[in-house]
Amino acid sequence: MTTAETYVTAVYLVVLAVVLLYVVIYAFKMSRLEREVRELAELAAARRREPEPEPEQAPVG
Amino acid sequence: MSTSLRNRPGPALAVAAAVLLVGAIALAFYWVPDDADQGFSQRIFYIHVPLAITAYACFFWAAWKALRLLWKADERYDLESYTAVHMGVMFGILTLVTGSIWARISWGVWWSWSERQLVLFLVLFLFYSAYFMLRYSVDPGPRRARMSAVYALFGVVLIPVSFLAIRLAEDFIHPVVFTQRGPQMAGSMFVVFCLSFAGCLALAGALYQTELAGKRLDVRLRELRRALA
Repeated sequence: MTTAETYVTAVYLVVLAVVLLYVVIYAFKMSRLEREVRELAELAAARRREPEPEPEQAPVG
Repeated sequence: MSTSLRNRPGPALAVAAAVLLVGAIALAFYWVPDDADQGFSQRIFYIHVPLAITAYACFFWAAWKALRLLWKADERYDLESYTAVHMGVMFGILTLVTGSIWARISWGVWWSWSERQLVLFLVLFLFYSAYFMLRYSVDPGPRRARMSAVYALFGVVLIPVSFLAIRLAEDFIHPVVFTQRGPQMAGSMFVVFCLSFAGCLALAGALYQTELAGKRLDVRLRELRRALA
């Protein structure tokens, strides 16, 4: 491989590596968002299971 | 095209980017002839220049969204402008790195401070990098959105200066391919350049759509968490 071929290949590999790095970072972010959605869904389900507070009774008359 | 694809062009753009870029790289290596002046190393042009123009396009897109925000006072444009600046900076890094490798092989140096276009592109890149510092130094809200929008609009003024610098400079050594007489290259070279440019634009579009969807989801989740707290 000549020097020129090495440099040209390096350029294309750098671009590929940066795009792949971006995809990996984004995959981590998506898994974090997925975890947050799961946590919120559990929180909402727990809220639904809680008994509703009884309405306050006011004396009549 | 189905309704879902029109509404969510991200996957279609990602496929287009993959096809166009793989095709352009294959043609750049195996089809186009060696440049008479630069030889094999001229093949860096097919990725370096499209990356640079895509970075400019992202900054223009960010400025357009910033203008819409200031005009319509709709905060959704803030996230769109911010995502476009992020894309532009990423493509800017790639432009600087690929240009630096090209400079090493052609000029024997990694960087030349005497080259106005290089320095102006670096200034543009640093200007937009400072956008994030400004953004995160202000509390989220309409004030931050307006400040970021004004900053993104100011940055776009630097783009024509950076683009025209090479034509205004008389002592340049940076090659000029696109002149008033059109592209100064063989037809096969121009075809590969156009394919690569379309691929870079599609890649930027796909990443923009993906990142914007993630950021919107992040904002909605934060709102939901506050509501449930």
